[in-house]
Amino acid sequence: MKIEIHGLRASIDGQQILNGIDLELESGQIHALMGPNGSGKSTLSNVIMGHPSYQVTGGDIVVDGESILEMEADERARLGLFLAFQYPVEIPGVTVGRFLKRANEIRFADKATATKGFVKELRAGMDFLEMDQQFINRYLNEGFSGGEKKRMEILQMLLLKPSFAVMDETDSGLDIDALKVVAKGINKLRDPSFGALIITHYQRILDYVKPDRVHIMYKGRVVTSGDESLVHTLEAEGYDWVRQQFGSPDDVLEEAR
Amino acid sequence: MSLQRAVADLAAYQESLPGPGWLGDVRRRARDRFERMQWPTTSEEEWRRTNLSAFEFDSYRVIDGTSSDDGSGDVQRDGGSWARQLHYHNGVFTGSEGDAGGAIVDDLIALADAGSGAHCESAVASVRSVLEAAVDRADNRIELWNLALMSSAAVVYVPRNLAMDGAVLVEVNADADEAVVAPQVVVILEEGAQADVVVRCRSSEEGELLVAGAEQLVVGANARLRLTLLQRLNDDSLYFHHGHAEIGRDAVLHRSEAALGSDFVKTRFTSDISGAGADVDLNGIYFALGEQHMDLRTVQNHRAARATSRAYYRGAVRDEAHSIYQGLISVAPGAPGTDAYLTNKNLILSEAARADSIPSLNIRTDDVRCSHGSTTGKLDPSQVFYLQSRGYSLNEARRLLVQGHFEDLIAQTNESLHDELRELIARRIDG
Repeated sequence: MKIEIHGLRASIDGQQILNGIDLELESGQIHALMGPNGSGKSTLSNVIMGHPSYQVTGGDIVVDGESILEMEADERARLGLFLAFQYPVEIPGVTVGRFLKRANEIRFADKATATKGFVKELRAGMDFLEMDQQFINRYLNEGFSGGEKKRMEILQMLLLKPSFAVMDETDSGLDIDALKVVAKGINKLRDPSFGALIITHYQRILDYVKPDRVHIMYKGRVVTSGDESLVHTLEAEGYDWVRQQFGSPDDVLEEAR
Repeated sequence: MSLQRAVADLAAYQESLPGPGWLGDVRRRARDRFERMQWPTTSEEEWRRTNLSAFEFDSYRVIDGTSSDDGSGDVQRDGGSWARQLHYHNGVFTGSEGDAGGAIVDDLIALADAGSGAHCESAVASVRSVLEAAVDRADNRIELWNLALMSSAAVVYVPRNLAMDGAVLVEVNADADEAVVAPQVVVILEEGAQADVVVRCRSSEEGELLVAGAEQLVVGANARLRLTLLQRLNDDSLYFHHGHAEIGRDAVLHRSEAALGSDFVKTRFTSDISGAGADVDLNGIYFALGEQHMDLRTVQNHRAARATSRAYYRGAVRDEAHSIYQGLISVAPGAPGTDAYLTNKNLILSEAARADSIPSLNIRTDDVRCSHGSTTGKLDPSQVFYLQSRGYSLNEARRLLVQGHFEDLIAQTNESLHDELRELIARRIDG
């Protein structure tokens, strides 16, 4: 899957958040997207997945040659896009097992084997992510800890095998053990048919999942891209470096206040 | 089969009904009180949102309870795993099936006729005092109408320390048009007894029925009763129901009701918690659509110390439907250590639909824990988006969320009903 984002502008409640994003993503690659709070990272992930609260005001998102802007979120999911949520919502009354079984059927509708090995695969996935099998009968995310919710996102990703996953701050709020499990999940999928955009505020997860490309976002734009060395520059210099390099003098003053 | 007017011919109808003399006395006493009362009006708090003034109660006919029922051969036996079943058709007892073990599960008149055995006699005597008390306690005309019209009653009587093996089904079925049916269910658990009872009220697809039902529960000391009442009448029918429970010391009552039918619903369930340490759960599921009106009320009446009660009511409304849930927690001065809670959650699925939630507390003692909470709102768009992001279509996501809204309450009913409840809810989402 190839995703081309051109000049993407988007707003929510009349407030402009994305100011012309240019980004090329592809299965087989792991991209990291970093940036200070408020730079529009979560907005970008929601817009890629088609969240109805955001309005695209310019530019395009093209997947394998076709614009997806007119597609509902479920159509995008069926293309093979996946969003790991920063704050996965609780779905009372719907068990993990029931939810995943149906999601699996939808995803692999064209394959007769969709449900055949599903339960086995679900159990194997839970073992791999060190999750208690009891979760199958619990209501989705209800009463889960922050770490359990994030693991549940990764479990879904393992089972649904997207062509490209956007991971919105999946690492935030995780202790080091949970972070390692999440990284293990991403690395397990790593192959030419899977790609990911790892959106993060911290470099920590990138110690466990090596990115092919790194992008820095600031004020609704991708201001620079590079290889893994960019992560180390950020680590050494902090986000002030981004503001000084790519912000206007006013921004620096504004931040200093 | 003769048809008589349900109000004007009430006295003549009563004389035609079978049963022991005391039952005739109960009916007559009920009629006597009935005749001295008016139909409830919106000036009464409980009826403020439910207006009966447009109903012509006398236009409904009663089906003569003495006539043998020609449909009895066609009664559909339920495929569920019931220990014992009682079947009623158009108000007439049409038969039973299964083995109640040492318990008595039978029609009242059949039981009174059989009459032999100390067990039977004490069961009939208990039912008699329960029904007499019901007449004395009744505080509105609909409730008295039920007792005056009562041709017989489904009786579940479980003697001391007996735990029934398997569940009881009382099936109340009707297929008449412009007819009134007055089902009565009496469940008596003696000390330490256990039972699981399902009452299902259903009808044919066509025909306007007026069901004025009632349920009398006596849960003795340390006894455990689970009772599920499913109402799935056709969408032309009117449904009234008055339930009452007397709950003894350390007794447990888990009651669930589901209102998944009828054009008009008005129900009340009162739990009189007269034994210390008792534990009561009242669960409710309702779903109104079209122009349906559903008004459900629960009363948690604490009269003894250290008892616990919880009411969980969940509703959904769509189209131009209107639902009302009224929950009252009342704590008497002699009930310290009471722990009572009620919660009501409503889903509004259409702009023009409405759900009223009216919790109230009446607490006359210190040292209690009482609270209530209610939420009413639309489906959460972030939940819909989450499901869509996993490939669920908008419709499928909405359906799953509405089903999920009721699911934990479904899980607490008798297992034989789970699929039926899910199916009835699904039909109301899509229909």
